[in-house]
Amino acid sequence: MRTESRSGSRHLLAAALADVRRCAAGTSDALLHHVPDTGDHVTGRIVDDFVDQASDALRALAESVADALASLESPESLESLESLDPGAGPGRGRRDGR
Amino acid sequence: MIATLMGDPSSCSQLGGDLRTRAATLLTAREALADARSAGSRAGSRLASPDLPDLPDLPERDQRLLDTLVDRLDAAGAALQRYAQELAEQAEELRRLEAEVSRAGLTLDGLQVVEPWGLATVDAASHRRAELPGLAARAERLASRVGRSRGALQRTLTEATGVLARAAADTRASLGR
Repeated sequence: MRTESRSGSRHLLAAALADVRRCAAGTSDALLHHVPDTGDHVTGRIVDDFVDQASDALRALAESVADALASLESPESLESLESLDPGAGPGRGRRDGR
Repeated sequence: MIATLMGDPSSCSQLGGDLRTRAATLLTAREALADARSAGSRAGSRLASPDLPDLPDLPERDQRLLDTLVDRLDAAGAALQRYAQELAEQAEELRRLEAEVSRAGLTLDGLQVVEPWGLATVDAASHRRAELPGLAARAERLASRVGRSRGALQRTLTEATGVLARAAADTRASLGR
């Protein structure tokens, strides 16, 4: 019961982290497809620099969230849960969550 | 000439709108993450056990990066939308000015009103000289508005670029990359 509730919280957190990662990675790619014409060379370069930097920052966020997700689903973490209640691991929670 | 001077307001507006929409989507994801964390904390405090591993969390610097991205993407999007609106108004003003300059027998060189090359009759030259100061003043006012619009957009985006670069570098440093 205890482990199951804790496991449910982990799945909720994993889903939220996965959503942040997906959103960051998708936005990072999508921004690079824009071709804004500001009518001025200097302004255009500044817009391009901003878009490149925003895209890079979004990639950094996606990478960092991927690390957090990996530690959430690490074998040590799963073993610890399984040893307390073999039926309450994340695999079961994932199926139950459908 | 208008296209060269004034660019394409619609492409700037599209980027601005996309930045704001994506900032809102990131904000929703951030709120869902905060909800998941507080649900985890409640479960953790009710069911605390030394045998259970702690729930991993986003480090504070990553939360800062996420917050910074939401704020700066939205601010940059708003600045681009304002710029696009001003660009469209300035392009319209430039069209009107160009027509009047042409009717006065003058020409526009960028945003400067000048007398064309070549011979002119005395009457035509006199008419041009009479019209030139008023039209030149309008062109100067327009150039000044264009400059202010560009400056405002440049300041917002330059500052945002620096802030995002520092936040991304902090996150990467913590990842050891």
